[in-house]
Amino acid sequence: MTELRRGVLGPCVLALLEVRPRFGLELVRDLAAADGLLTSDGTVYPLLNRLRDAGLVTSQWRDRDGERARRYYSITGAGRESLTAFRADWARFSATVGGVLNHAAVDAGGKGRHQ
Amino acid sequence: MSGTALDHRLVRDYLRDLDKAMRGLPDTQARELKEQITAHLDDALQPGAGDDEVAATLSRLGSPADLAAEAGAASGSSGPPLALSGRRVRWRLAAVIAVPAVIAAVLGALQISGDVSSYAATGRVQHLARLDAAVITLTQKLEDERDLSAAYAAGEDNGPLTRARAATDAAASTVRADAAGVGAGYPPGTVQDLNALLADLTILGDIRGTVSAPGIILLYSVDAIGPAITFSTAVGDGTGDARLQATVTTLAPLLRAENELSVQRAILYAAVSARPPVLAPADLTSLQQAFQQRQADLRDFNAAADTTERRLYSNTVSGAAVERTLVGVARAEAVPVAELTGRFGLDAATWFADASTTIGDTREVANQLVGQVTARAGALRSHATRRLVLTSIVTLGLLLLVLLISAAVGRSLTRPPRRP
Repeated sequence: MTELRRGVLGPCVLALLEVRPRFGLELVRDLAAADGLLTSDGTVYPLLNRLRDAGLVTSQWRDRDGERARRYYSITGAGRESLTAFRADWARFSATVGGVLNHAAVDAGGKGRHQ
Repeated sequence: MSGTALDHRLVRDYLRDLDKAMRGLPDTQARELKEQITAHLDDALQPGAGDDEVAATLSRLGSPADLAAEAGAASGSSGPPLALSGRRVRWRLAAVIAVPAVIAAVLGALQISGDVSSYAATGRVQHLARLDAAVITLTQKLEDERDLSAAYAAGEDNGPLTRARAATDAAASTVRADAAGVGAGYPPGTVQDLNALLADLTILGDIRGTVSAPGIILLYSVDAIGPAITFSTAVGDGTGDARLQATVTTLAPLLRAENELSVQRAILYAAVSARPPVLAPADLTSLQQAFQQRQADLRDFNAAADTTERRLYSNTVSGAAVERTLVGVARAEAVPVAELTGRFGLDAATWFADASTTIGDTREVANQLVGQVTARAGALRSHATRRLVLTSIVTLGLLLLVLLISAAVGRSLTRPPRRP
């Protein structure tokens, strides 16, 4: 599961940022809210930096309502393209995986019933 | 920021562990992650949060080692060897800056100290040149005083002698004043010559008490004029400048030639001033020796002088008075020893005036050469001064530049420009 989570976490971050820019803790909380997506909160930050190095995400310092300055992350044009491509891939991939898993389950169930 | 959750013991421990874990990461990356984690904790924890809450937040964050590993995997960083980060690398970078800067500083200091010592050396040369001009003036005054003293002993009026003595005393006190400070750092031979001259000047009073003309000529020549000329001829040694030394070398035989002519003036002036006029056999011998010595000195001068200097001499030491001087000496020398009484066709005042003119012409040449020595010494001094100032400015400027550039490069390597 760890590898799978790692693979999908990036697109999930992009998806959240596509809605609106978020600062670190905000992003972590939103991801943590999706059960089972995060193994540890801290992992998000190296991921964000990796996405930024890849040009999919940028960050700016912002002051909001007299609070202290925070680093806000937002999605870039390239990030949106990447996310769109992933959505298409994921739809096909999950359908394929789902199909395979369901057939296998039916077979396994059938065998069980036969025995 | 006092009283924030960041001050919590567990948070501090965590951040410190994170620093340790990130040692292998590039500096920028480590700093960025630290900043993100710190901001996360600052946002996630209320000031005064309890140990349990803090521990839970930190535990959700993941262990520092895992975070560092994740960051390392993210960047594909290969670890410390290539990373411009970590304390050890920073030290090495400091060494990279410090070593050339220190070397530059040491080399610069050596260069400056070399220039300082040549500045000091040219200062000594300039001092000696000034002193030499004073000594040569003194020599001339002593010659005049000697020649008049010889005539006075032979019965001449002493008015001019009194003036000559005053002129000598003035020249001697100038020499004494200029001699102050000549000692350590000066050529030992020069210091020795100067001390001999100064010692002889102290017995000038005794010399003045001498009564016979031959005694006067001998004592002045040996005990005062001789040491003065010795100083002047050797003063070029140890200056280390060929041009200056060449001028001094040319000057030396000219000074001796002038003195020998002055001796002839003294002998003949005393002889024709005597009542009755008489040239003792010993004086005739002295006259002939002085004459021959002068010829030898002039040959030395011509050998040492360049074309310009030789032309200067032949143009300056010329004219009717010079001719008459040479004729007068020749006539006196030609007198048979048996007929040494009489004036040899010489009038005392005319002879003294003609010989003095010839001596004055010679002195004019000598003074021009002294002027060249002084000018050369001054040029050497100002060259050394300019060089010292220039070297100091350039060295300090380069050093500053090296430090600034090194510091700027070093800073950009360890702390890349950050987003505001």
